[in-house]
Amino acid sequence: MKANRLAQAKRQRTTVLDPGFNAAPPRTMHIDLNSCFATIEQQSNRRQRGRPVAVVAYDHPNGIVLAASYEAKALGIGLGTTKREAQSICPGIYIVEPDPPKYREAHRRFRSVLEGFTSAVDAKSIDEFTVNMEGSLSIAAGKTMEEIGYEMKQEVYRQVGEAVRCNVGIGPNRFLAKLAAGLHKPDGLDRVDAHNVEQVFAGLRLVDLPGINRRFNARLRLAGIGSPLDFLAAPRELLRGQVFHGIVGHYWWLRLRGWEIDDEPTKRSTIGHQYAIPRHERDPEHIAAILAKLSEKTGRRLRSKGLIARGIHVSVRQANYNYWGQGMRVDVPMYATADIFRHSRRLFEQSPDGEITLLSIGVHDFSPAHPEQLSFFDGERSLSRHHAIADAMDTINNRYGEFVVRPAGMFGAETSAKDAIAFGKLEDIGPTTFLEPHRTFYDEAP
Amino acid sequence: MVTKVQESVKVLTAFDDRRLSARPIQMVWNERAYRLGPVDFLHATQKGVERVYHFSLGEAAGGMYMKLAFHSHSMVWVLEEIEDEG
Repeated sequence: MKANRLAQAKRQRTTVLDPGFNAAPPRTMHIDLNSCFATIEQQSNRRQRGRPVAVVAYDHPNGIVLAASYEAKALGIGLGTTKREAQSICPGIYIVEPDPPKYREAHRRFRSVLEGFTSAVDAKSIDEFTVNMEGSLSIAAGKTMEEIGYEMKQEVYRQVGEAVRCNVGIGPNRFLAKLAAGLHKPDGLDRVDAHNVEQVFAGLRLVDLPGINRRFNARLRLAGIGSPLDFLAAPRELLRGQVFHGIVGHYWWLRLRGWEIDDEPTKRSTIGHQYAIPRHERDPEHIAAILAKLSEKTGRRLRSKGLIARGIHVSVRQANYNYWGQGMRVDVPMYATADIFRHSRRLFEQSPDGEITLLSIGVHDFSPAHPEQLSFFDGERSLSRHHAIADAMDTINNRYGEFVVRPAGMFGAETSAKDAIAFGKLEDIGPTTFLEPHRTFYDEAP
Repeated sequence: MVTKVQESVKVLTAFDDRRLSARPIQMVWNERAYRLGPVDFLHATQKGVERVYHFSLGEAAGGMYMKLAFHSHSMVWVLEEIEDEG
């Protein structure tokens, strides 16, 4: 029955597609930097341009590659390769640890370039943006989306760096624009819209579509949908009723036809930190010290946003790649680092015995820190006093630097859980640091 | 190979009021003078109230790459790391 409906839909592809596809002129762009961290390292060190470069999570043979340059990728080195493997594939590879402030600056410059074209700029991650050009001055001036895209590339080159290339995708919605951006890496500019969507889809696999992972791929294949063209032709009822079992199927039907359904701002639901431990760790004192540092980093961010949290979650990855996680709600909301540390330690104590390689904590269920609710059960140690101590510590650290004053439990973890970039965590990145474009610094010395 | 250095150094610097920019011209380290090439990347970090500007650049003649940091509060230049042919 299902197969018959799909076959019928395939035969009637044009009639299935035409009435439903968004025929408005494409005004959405997806722009991403290539191999962002590795490219910024090549920008910073011109000796490494055109050479294999890998940014590893930490300087240890088991440290995994977070980003590889195109030259390294061509050798088979990519995300997840260990430092040891990368060096055996390419003994001369340039390996560096991440430099998050550098990548944040690149992100700011990247954003600044795009905001020169439109105010409707939305950061999807540290190295990718979506912009909506509808109503922009460039469109009003009669420029095509392709012309605007080429201008953006030039500005990225000028302001972010001469070694930096980006991909630009143009589409009627974010999904098709992102798909277009991935067609001709590392320096592509493509459009996917009503005129060429079938032609583009014909050359792709299901897993090439943004958002289609192995699990969705298997689910689609089970329903007889074996290619992007089949997916495009699949009736809405089939996607909704039998493939995705709900509204998600309807969303996919719209997404494939160029309608925008992915522009809802994502709401922050968790603040947390994690640390990949270079060596397998089972020393309870060292783990407690790392937990204290993660608690302090989490607490700093929580307080900087003026929030308190009523939920906490701790998870670990064991050396045998088993994952364990446990969460809880607390009666007295967390604000100070000591609160987060106390609860996270209690949760961690419930984890299975054994060596661990990853430790993460996150707090959630937020509300504004002021006005606070006093607890009947906290005795003299009132929240006000508790908050004041945490605020005083933050004031000192704001003036003299991170961890100048820190919880006693953190001793022993000074070099652990260093600054890192979460690919989705962007709200803390402010405006660009410098008034002038980066290019001014290329000028020769006077 | 990148080598962490973290030593204070003397740096001849050009400040440009029109472009609101600064550019290291020459560095003296271990009693040797290095003429510096163009800045390849510039970013800043905050260390408490102190703004630290990190310049990624190389020797004018090629050879060595380095990261130089200018600590704006204490007015000190620090050679943070180098990378050379070794």
